[in-house]
Amino acid sequence: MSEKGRRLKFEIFRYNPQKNGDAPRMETYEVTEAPGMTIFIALNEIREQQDASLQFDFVCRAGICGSCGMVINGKPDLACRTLTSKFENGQITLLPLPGFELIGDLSVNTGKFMQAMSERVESWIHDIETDDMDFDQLEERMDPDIMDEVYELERCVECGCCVSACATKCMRPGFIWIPGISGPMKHFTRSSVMMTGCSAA
Amino acid sequence: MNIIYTDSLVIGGGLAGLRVAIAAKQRGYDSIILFLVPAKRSHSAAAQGGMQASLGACAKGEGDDEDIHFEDTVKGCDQDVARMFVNTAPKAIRQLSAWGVTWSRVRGGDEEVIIDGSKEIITEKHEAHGLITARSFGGTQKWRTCFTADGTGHTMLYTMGNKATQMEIPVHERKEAIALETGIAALGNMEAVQFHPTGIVPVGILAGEGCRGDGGLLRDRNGYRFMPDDEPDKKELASRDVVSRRMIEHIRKGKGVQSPYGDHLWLDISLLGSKHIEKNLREIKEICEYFLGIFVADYCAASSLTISTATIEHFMNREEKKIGDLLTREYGENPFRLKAEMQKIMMDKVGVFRNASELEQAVDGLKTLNQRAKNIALRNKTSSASPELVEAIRVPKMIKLALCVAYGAMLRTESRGAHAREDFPERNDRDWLKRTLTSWEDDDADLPKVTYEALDAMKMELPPGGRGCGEDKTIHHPDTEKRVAQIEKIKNANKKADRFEMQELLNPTSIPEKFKGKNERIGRGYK
Repeated sequence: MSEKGRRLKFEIFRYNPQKNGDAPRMETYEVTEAPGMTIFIALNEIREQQDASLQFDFVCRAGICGSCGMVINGKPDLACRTLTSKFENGQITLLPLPGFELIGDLSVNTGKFMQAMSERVESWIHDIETDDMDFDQLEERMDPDIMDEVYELERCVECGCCVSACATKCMRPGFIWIPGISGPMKHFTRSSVMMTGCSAA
Repeated sequence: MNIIYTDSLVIGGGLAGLRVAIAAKQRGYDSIILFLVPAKRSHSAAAQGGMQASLGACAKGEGDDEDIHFEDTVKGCDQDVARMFVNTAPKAIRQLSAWGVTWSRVRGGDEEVIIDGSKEIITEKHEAHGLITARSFGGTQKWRTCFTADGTGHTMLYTMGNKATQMEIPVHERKEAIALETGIAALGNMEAVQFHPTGIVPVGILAGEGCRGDGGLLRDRNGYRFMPDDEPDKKELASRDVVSRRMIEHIRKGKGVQSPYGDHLWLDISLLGSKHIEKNLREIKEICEYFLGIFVADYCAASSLTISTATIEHFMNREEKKIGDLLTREYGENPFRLKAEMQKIMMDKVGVFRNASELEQAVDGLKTLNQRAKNIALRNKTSSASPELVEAIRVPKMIKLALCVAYGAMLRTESRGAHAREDFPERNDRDWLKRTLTSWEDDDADLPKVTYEALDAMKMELPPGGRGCGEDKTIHHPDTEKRVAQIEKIKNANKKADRFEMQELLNPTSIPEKFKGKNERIGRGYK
């Protein structure tokens, strides 16, 4: 860990669709790298110290909420889990995830897509009895191995990275992606839709 | 003004908010959720460790019931809430299972686990195979924490989110709401901020408590496991606030590991083995790979409020004027800088250990920030999707909240739960057996209004007292002794009462009829 970090050069996509006359463009920012710095930390530094109008999303900063997906040097990934030290030449280009509604700059509406998907495939337990069940008695048994398998699919955080990288999604508006429907899901009544998120990919 | 009509308005779309909206809808009320971020992005997902319910299916949970859970949970404040929680938690876990949460299950037969630093074989009963299992957590008498590998919060949040979608409950996302500033909504026990003991240096991400629950150990700069010296009974498994305090004490003794970000300690999970880590602590493994805190828990005061449309109009106008001022003010404060200063004050002076002089400095500093926050100016004077404007609206409110925490902590001259005062190390039931209620009635005021709501020791199922972590230095309430004698008398007069009848006699908590049923357990039935 050196005391004085190298200068990182960020090329960031800028466009505010709500602003009259604004045009898409790339803007350059420089940040001094700190030990353990992630793209998320660098973006906050840029927003706080250089350009308060820069839009991007985050909630948890720990790779579990799926908010901060963006295209980092050509690859969709989570900003909070990408260390700047990974890029040897210190050049980092950031673009919003394609295939989603652009809110502004790096912020896209993945939530809207996921919610629509959830409504469309009805991603809940289709068992009308669950509301009237007696929860005082022992629960229905599930094989522990099957439960573990199902949970593997549940790990998806709906960040949208895999969706954004999918050419079919970009071409077909009716795109739907339900991995595992023929695998462990057949053992289980739960019909939750699971995208293979970055954490699973 | 665009008015939306609804029977029930829920502010916050995390687990609690979603569950409340579902319950309201099930009772026939239209519900709307307002949320800062999109649904399913809530920080509830970070609650990785699990949720406690006395299902008693796994071997180490055998014999568990609501009463043991109650004993483990609380001694003193809000026993009614604790009682309601322990009695209904098993039902809630089973309901979530039916709704789709993939709770980890009991696997009949022998299993190798790590307990207190060494390997042990646990034999799970074959008749319990497939029932919901539990892990050890927070030093409870029984293993009681139901979990889904390392992602309990995630699976609960998604299941709850899907349920809300099924019930057509709209989530209005990326929305702001005001509560404290109305002066009508009061916040409860704001000084009781719980510090999570295992945040990762330097990013501040949490390593879930499942790490310690599953057998992970805390070590100092010499690799020495220090918790058994300070907490011989519960060691690493003591509750969050206790572990945080012991860690700070150990670092203060000079035993921390030095780093450019300050001293830290090690959380050692290597002894659990890669198979266990891969399956049950995968997020932790990934965090370790990808990266190399503070966790706030608060208590909501249940109270009934009447908020008229006129009140809402008044505050709409006031907020609009504030935003208008923000968009026109030429020179003024930078909201990002104000936030950073607030964070520094809270970090340095309202931490795990607190004392009068630091808290006074914190309150003074925050008061100044509160004044400065009235004079924020924007660099980008645009009202559309501007992160700077969002910050300018939120930061003054955050500073007010920080004042509620710091001022409440300054006034509470005792140590209780997560609130640890170095200058008042004892728990003081005599003067402080009461809830703090904080409200902000006058927008121009520098400090919130703080009132207290006394708790009745004579109605407590367990007489108030220390939680049994270290030496008991409690200053007792004058009613405590009376209540002890009264409980003794009730017990003697009702020797034939079973545990349910006894609870009814000692604490006739008003649990809704539909949740009053006794909970079934394997090998025990409904007893």
